[in-house]
Amino acid sequence: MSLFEGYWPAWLGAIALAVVCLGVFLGTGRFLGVAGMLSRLLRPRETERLRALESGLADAETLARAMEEAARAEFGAACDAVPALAERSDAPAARPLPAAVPRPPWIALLVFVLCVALGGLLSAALSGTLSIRWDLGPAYERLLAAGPGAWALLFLGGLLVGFGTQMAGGCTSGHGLSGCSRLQPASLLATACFFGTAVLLSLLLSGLAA
Amino acid sequence: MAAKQCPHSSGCPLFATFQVRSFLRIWQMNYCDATFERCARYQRIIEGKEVPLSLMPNGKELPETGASKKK
Repeated sequence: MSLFEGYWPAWLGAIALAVVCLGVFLGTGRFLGVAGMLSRLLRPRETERLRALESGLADAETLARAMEEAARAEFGAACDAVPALAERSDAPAARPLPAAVPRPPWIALLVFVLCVALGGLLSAALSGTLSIRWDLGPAYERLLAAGPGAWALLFLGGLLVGFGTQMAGGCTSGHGLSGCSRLQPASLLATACFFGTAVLLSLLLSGLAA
Repeated sequence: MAAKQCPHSSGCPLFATFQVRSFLRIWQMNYCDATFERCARYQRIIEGKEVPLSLMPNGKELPETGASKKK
């Protein structure tokens, strides 16, 4: 059987996802999160405004100075009462200022999202399953709806997914790949919730469709 | 009982800078280590919104610097 016939083997998918995650991190200095990218893509003005604003703060010294001025304006003389960090060589004060990671330009987000769609098309073409169809399959139609009702239901499902990712602060890539790989508790919980629900629902629908 | 620190401090670029400069720790003392729920950055995170680097915990934005004003 050819490697590209049907679904990819799980190990190959895992390697491909790891390469994408690492590639995005090495290329942009940020963790992969497709929902966040889509959200920024849909607000081009705001994305570019923040990028321009942050580019002026990209230098760690400039950022620290601006923050010191803001602290003086907010807390006044109380700033001088803050106990100094220890002067030991291993004290935090001896560490260099962390540099801010620049925001990718809007066009980079567009290219990424287009490549996600192209990747899906390429995968389907290589496995010989690429075709245009207007039905959602007999099992879907028997269990849920057919015709325009099926599409309306699919649209509603998409809306709920979008709502859920905004509410959870991430999607399968942000929480599932980037967050879980860093053992972030919120991501582990979010992934357990959405994957657990998906597996349960899938088993239920398979059982009903059988 | 020790005060709870902001759960998002590890990923916050401003918190990382508070750790390095003594003068900036006043932000940490007043927000991250104490009442982080009133931090504007924290509030945006839990609302699922993007958090600009220039947004300070008190909700004010850092002024534009020369580099960002050119354009």
